Amino acid sequence: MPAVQAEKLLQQLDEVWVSLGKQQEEAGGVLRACAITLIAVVDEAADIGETLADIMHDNPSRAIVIRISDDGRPLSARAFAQCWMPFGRRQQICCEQVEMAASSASFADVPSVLRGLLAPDLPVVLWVRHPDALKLPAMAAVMTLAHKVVVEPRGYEDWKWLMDEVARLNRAGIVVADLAWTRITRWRDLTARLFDAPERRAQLAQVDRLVIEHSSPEPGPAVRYLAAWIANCLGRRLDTRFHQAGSTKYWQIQSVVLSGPSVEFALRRTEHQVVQMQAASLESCTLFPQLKEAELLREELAILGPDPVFQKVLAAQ
Amino acid sequence: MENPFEDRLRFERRVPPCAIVIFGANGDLTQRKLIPALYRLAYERRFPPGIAIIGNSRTAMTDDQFREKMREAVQKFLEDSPFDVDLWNDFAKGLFYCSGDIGDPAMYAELKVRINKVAEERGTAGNVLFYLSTQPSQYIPVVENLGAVGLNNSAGWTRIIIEKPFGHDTESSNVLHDAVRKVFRESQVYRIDHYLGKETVQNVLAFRFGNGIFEPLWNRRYVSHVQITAAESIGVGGRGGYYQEAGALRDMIQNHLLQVMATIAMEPPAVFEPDAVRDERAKLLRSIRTLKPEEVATHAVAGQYGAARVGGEDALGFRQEKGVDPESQTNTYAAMTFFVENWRWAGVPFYIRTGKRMPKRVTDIAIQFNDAPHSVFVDAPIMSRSGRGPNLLILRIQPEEGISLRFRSKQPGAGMRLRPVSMDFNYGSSFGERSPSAYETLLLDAMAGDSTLYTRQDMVDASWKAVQPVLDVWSETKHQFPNYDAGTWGPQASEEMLQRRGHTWRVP
Repeated sequence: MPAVQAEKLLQQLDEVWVSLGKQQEEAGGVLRACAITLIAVVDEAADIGETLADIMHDNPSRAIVIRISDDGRPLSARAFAQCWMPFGRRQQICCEQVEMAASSASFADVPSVLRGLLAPDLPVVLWVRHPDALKLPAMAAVMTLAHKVVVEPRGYEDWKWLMDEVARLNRAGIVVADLAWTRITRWRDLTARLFDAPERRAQLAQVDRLVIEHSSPEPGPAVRYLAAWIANCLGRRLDTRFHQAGSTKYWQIQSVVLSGPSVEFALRRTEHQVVQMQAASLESCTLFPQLKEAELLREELAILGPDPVFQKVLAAQ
Repeated sequence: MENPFEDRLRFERRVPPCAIVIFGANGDLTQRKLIPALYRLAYERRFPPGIAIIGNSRTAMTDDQFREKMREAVQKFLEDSPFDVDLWNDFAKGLFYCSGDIGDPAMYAELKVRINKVAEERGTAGNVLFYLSTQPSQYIPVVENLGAVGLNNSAGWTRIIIEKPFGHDTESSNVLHDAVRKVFRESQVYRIDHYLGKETVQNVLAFRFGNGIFEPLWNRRYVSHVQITAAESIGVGGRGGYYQEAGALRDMIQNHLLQVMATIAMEPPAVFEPDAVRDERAKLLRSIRTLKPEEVATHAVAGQYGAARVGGEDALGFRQEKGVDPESQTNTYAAMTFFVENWRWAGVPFYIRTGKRMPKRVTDIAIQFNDAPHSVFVDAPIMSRSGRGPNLLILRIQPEEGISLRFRSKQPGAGMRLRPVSMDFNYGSSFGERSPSAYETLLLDAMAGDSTLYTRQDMVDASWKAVQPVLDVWSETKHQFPNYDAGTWGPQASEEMLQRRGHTWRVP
């Protein structure tokens, strides 16, 4: 008999519901909410409690968190519920959570347990926050269970390998998202806004140079995705330069400047999380508050099918 | 040439740059709703760079004074988002002010110069959106003056938003329409009904036409009746003067609640496009049976609140409110029974009620389904003690937007004891993202040229036709007011109106 059984975990979840129901009987019970199964693969010490709690409000899920360590431990698991009380209401809303601990070796046991744990008839999203897990042989089997795979490259040293891996998964027909791409949605949106006005759009033909400033020693995936996207949209290669400007804990785009012999269109990050848009007769600013992990995931969870624009960017890598 | 950077999957819908001209810019609506909604849209990056807002009112002010006043308004009335100084400074660069009397033709010539100057400076491409946030009596002079100086057309698009009320009866509505159509084409006119901009009202369309399981039940065979409630816990406050002329029937039922009813009862449009949706709404409104004068007494109830003790405090009666005639015959409560004359709804009553000074602020729609034809559970009668069957679908519009489905389930334990349970979908808790306010939605729609959630004149005509017989009879009636206490659910006669058909009002 395997040490971790999906049926036992489901039974534990049932017991959690009965117990919560009894505790909250006066308030009309608890409201059980589930719209997706979210599988999060994280490293042993990852603190994702706040992120899960944040996304639960708009994407109530059965969250299955798999923590991976290097200590050779056998697979273990426990089930519980995350609840919150919406403002002004008496009834709690609760989502199910299963927490599993595995080593690189015992991860091989994970797919068979997951198969029995997925919430029936609902989409499955696999969030790989620990990119080394993509190198585990059993990961291929886990991916076959998911409608979408979301990877997080932030802080991952071997990001070049990860970009290649994302492109490979895309070629293999897996719906894959990279949070580095999600992080540049605002920059892409502002770039598009620069050219909403027909007179500025008409000047695009003159643009032959792209300079992106970033705050890391090397231009990371976000910078490369952004450059590839701009070239894709214009349908031509530009003289593209990447420069480091400043230094932050994680890479961050500082400015995007499209220019030509007599034109310049610029987006520049200033202080106070503000980005300035500048073109000939245009000067405008917009807020770029610090993005939370939950906001990025929310954007990806809202798109469960393929993202054709990102697919084109990956194909061009 | 399309914008090559467009990404419809990820980017919010964008609107073209334009100048928004607000008449009545010193008024309550502008400060409480319009400017905070416009600022919020800027905060959400929903605006193109170069948007301009030109305020007009009689008060003499410079651009900077207007900006300062609007800054105070945004700081005071902005909901759910922080005030950001950098963003405000950028937003305020697009705020301008043009003082002058809206009855004075010279003001419009000056306004035209200002609009053209702003178009050049801000790159608005000649697009202009006028917003009539003035007293209704000033609508016609404004429209005529705009036409006189040629501001009804421009190098880009020109649109005009008109706030309700669209007249105070059928005749005055026609007079307003005649004046407007002499200057603007119907496609340029956006009659705003902010109820249609509310998320749940829009969600009714998604709920009905995006799901396959509800629509088959949405007819006379399965629906017993529909109750629409719009209750306010407050009295008329400072609006006593206005309210005395309008009353609950005109203020709420003729516009907001009949639009809600049309959304609930309309046929599915072939496509989700403005005219297709509005055609179906208009068709439904035209299908409402017009009451004969002798039917008014049994199909409509007027009420007015009297003084009472509410929550440990003395609440004034309507007649004691500031600016109200002590002998006022104005209805602060109105309830009506409507019937829709088509195959889908024949014989199904639609009960609508609205009132001031009720026990709480709530707006919802309850669809009461028919009882099961036969109860197999001897100890569990199909009808509850309230006379209602077990299946009820409630679409909550405010204060908490959401949907609930009530059904019966077995009570855990031995024996077959049934109890009602509720399955809730709550916008606030299910979607962490804040819902845009109705004004944000509607302003953005008008800028994008999407009139789906705006009212067309034929809908206005049909709504007036539905309530006009009641207005006529009530204007000739000496009501025994007040007939309900502040803090209660309305007059007894309203309960009796439903009891005649074996129904009762729910307690929302």
